[in-house]
Amino acid sequence: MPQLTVDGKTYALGDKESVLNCLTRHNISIPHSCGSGICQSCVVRAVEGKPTPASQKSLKPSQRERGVFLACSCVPEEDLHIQLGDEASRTFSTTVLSLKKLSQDVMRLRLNCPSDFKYRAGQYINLHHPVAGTRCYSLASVHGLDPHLELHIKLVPQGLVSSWVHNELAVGNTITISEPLGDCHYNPDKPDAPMLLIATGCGLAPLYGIIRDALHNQHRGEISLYHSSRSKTGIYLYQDCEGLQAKHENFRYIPSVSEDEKIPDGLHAGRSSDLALQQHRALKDYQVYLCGEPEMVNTTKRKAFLAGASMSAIHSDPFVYFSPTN
Amino acid sequence: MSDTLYDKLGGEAAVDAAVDIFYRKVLSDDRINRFFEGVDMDNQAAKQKAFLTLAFGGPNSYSGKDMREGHAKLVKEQGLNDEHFDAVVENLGATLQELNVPAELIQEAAAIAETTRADVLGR
Repeated sequence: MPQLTVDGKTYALGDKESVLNCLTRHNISIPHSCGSGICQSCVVRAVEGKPTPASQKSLKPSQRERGVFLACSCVPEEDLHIQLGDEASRTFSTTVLSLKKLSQDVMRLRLNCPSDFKYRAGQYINLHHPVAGTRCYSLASVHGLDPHLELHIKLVPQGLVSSWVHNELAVGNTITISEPLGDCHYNPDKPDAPMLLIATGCGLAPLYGIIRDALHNQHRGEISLYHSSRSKTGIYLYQDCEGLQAKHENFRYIPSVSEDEKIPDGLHAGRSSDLALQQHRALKDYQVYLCGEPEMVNTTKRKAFLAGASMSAIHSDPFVYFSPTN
Repeated sequence: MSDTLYDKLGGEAAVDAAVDIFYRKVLSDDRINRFFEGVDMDNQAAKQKAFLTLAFGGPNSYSGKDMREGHAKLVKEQGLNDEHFDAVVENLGATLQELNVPAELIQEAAAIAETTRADVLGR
């Protein structure tokens, strides 16, 4: 079995044991959250030995070159000498600019955008809670268009971080965020491609940012946004999306509710994914964006692919939105 | 020196062109698509690419051991057998036909895919 050296001490790795599990087993605590290679909280650096390709796959080339890898995704094939607390994971300190309820359970959190924070709308960040760890949230704001960063945070029953944002955080508070992550964002190289964006619940946040980014970049192809919620109280940013539709000829907004018995004026009946795929049957050359409940995302990914969308043109957030299951 | 099959087919660009077509055929094929229920599509597409690179005679890191371990559960619990293997090879051929690859090169690729049969089926 390969061995792991940290701070001058050497530990034997167990069979198929990840670096993170080995560290935890020896009471060496490092930040971590998702345990599945997504949140990038557990970055460490190899100073000797080669980390596995899987543990570096989602990192930037510059990080890979420096030996940075994800401890949770690395089951070493050779001896590794690692360094903790590396500058690998860049964090930013920022302040709360405003907090505004967009619906019963969605809070819009605006943060000061640090001067060297470069991102694309639709990417996500880790928000650090002083005790509970980190959670991923998508950026709904647009770099170059909005002076602030914007997140939409859904109140989750028993959710430590979301209830902290909803009930305790105040304007002027200082908080820590990660650098922007992920590649679910607008692609400026395809200005004529039709874009199909499908969201449930708070999955609207990244898509709202991506759409404004696309329109800001004078996207020429048709842009269709389908957003659904179980009931009409979950349809937030309605006025804003209607406003965008009135202003831009190539943008269509189709909000819907899936469980209300009476369908309110201006809304459609059904799930966003069903309506979208009924109205767009051939998806060759489309850019498809899927955000929201994992079940919807996974099912729709497959259907969109079978309807002709290329795998590389289907974008979705890798993390799970925390949403009540009932 | 003559070009390898991989060069003749067009290298990595050809694999990229083939992977969507091939994966779509596999997912649409009722003989075998149940093996792909509930798997992560991005991971799976990467595996399809590795498989096609191998079948194209290109540089690949697939070992017999990987093939064996990767499919062992499907053989044991879901009855993966020769018929399913044949279906995959058939989809490979249809994909290459769609890309207008000459018949003799399709045969070469199918012959390479064939070399993995024993490992995939755990024999």
